[in-house]
Amino acid sequence: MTALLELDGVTRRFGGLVAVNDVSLTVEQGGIYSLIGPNGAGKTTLFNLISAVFRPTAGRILFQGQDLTRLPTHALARLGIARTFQNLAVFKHESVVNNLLVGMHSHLRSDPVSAAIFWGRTRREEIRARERVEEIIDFLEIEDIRDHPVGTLSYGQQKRVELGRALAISPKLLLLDEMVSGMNQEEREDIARFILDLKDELGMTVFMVEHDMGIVMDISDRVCVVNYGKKIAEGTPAEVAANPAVIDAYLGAKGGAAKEDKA
Amino acid sequence: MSGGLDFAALTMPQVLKRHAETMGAELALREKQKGLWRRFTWKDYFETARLTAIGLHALGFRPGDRLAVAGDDSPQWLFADLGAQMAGGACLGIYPTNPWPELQYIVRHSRARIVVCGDQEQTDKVLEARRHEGGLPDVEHIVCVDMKGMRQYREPGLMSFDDLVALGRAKEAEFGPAVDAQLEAGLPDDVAIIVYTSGTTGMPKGAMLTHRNMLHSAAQVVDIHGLSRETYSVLCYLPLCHVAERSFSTVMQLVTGCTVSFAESVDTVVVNLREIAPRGFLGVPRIWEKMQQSVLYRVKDATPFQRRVFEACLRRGRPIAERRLANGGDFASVSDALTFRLLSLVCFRGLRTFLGIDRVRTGFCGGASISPEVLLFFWILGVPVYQIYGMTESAGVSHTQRPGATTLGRSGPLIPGLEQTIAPDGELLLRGASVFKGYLFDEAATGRAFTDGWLHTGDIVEIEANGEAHVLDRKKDILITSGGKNITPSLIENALKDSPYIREAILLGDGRNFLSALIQIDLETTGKWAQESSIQYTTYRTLAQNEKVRELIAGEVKRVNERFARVENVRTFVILAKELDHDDGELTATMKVRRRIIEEKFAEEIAQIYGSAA
Repeated sequence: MTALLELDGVTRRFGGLVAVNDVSLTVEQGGIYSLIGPNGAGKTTLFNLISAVFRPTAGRILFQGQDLTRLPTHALARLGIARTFQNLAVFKHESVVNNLLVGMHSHLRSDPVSAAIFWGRTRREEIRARERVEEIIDFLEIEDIRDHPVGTLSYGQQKRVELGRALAISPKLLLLDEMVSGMNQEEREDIARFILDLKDELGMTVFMVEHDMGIVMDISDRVCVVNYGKKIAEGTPAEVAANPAVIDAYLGAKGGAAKEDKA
Repeated sequence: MSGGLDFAALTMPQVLKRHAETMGAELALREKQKGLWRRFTWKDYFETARLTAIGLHALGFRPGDRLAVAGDDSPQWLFADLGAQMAGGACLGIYPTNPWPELQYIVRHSRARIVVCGDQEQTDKVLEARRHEGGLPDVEHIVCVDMKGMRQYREPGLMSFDDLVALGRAKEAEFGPAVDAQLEAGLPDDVAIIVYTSGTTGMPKGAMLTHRNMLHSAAQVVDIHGLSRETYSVLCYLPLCHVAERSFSTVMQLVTGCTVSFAESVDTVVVNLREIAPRGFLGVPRIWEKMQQSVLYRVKDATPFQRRVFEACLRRGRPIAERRLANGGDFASVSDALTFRLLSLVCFRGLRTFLGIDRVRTGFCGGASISPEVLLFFWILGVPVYQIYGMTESAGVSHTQRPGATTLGRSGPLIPGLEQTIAPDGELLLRGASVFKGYLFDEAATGRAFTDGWLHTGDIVEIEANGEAHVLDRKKDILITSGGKNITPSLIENALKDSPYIREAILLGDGRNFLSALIQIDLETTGKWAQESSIQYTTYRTLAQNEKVRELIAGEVKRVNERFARVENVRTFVILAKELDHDDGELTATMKVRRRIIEEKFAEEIAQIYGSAA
């Protein structure tokens, strides 16, 4: 396995606050990598650094060996990085199909003139884009809501559409920010299955920030734990779950002691 | 356009082959995939089924063997079905909703060595069944249509359906001649399909149906209703493992040469129905009820003006439909026909289009008893729905209503080629070309099913003056009160279910001094009612236990009681605190109530009604 994404001593300060402190990690190609940690541990900041929303104060972020730290946000999609957001970011009044087509936009190459007469490459590209949308609809099993305005759908379905839009560009690396928060058990299981399928069927690499320990422990290949902006543990789900520093971070030093007492 | 084929002398694969020869380029199957309708011609159908047969042969499938199929309806289902028959075997279906223990029972009992699965969910059930309680010792190969999510599976004997067809292509030179010879050698009395009864009592039994059984029933219905390639087409959406869908899509397609379409997924049936607008439609009572409710439900949300138009049209349409039914399905007078046209223009046509049944020339309803009110609703809208009667053991259809015999609440006259008689206890007995061969590996049950060659239907039936069957109830469901009065529960249960608020009703009172009912409320409509009456609820349970809801249901029960004699009145009722479910064993896969299990499960509620001493 080769490294797809590497963080090397990444630090980010907001004034006096160090949100991310000297984090280094490596996401291997074709794996599911989870980032966990208590509230305010710096997970989302780290995510925003990778997706070039912020620039790191220090350190480097490499994607397939290319330095991302100087790139504008919109360049990431062309490189093959897509993400979803913790809060829904969909076009509520547009249909599912149109929401997915928007995701394809960065991959269309045609010029305004040929677009106006819908000819040549534009035509081929548009047809290909529509086909790709249908593949995603098939993959996410949302045939029945294809033409519904996204705003009328349940939260879980809207999340699926958001995931679908991230898939539209066939990314090499998919960043998922708290995908299953606010979902019911059934919706969670569906999403877990889709994430596994993304890896197994399409060979995608998934990097997710997640609160739901059940999903993290079930499907991750590797888990990284951060607390107060620092990486405190990394390993397989089993290794991380057994790590005393992680138990402390999650249950607090006292809680950890109580647990030991019980045991 | 059956091309003058003699269905009494052919097997189903032989009919398929004739169609491929005479109209190979015509459309046979359509499936919506990735947003587009994909087409299969008769030639595609035959050739893929043949390659499937060769592939099965290469896997060791031999004449007399059985192939099990578990999955949602799809063209591959038919390829597997006809392929297995071509190779001289029989095909049996398993409900996609069956939990794994039921699947395990059927696969093990049938001794099938190959199982075709629709998707990962079905494959997982087979794998689960393999690992538990004795497993599936006979199963050697698992073939899966949609391989999504299974790239990492390393199960021995697992392959994709495409691989099976590819295997057939690779081995064509080697095994093709053997399969072709087998196809030609097939006889009408060979077992073609095995249908496991859903089992309202005891374990499922595998009814063996021959080519003759299936083709006879279907050909008679086609003949009686004048169906052809031009006047018949269907959307295949009920489970194919059930004899009715098999008969009305697969077999009637072979008889008429018509087109069968498959929905994109189980959730898109309503939308796809609208797109396809088929010319024929088969529904079980539950489907027709749901369609009617979807209209009534929508009307509630319409503007007051629209609502008034709808209600006025329905009121005027009702006597027209009643006269039309009494007249055998034709309009009773010219003025009726004209008025109907007008009403249709104003209201009914839009509703029919909304439901996707605008082009339906012949609708069928069967599978269980239905409330006459529901059927009348569709006649009012101008959709002719004919009641059919039949059972698995009579290849799906033994009686059908037809133009000229459309009495509401009856099930039509016997089809030609069958004989009927009524036993002294009122049970209908049947004999003839549609009657099955026997139960697979169950001599004792087969013996019980027949007396002197007559098939016991288990139904209490009266034959009316015009020849139509009047099905009263299942023989074993007839209640005898302690006063000695015979009660047919389905009549009263259906009257209760006419209420939009009552989803399921189970009548009790066998050996008791009065009748009572277990009632499951309809969560959707009762929930809407509760919202309008500002009653707070969170789940089915809280709604069911609400005092106001109880009063609502009491009112509905009272209304029904007024229509029946005093001994037939429902004295008390209990609203079930949970919804009945197939997974909990209370319903069969076809949503029929399993009385015995329900009586056991709700023994406490029943004791509450009759007092613990009873």
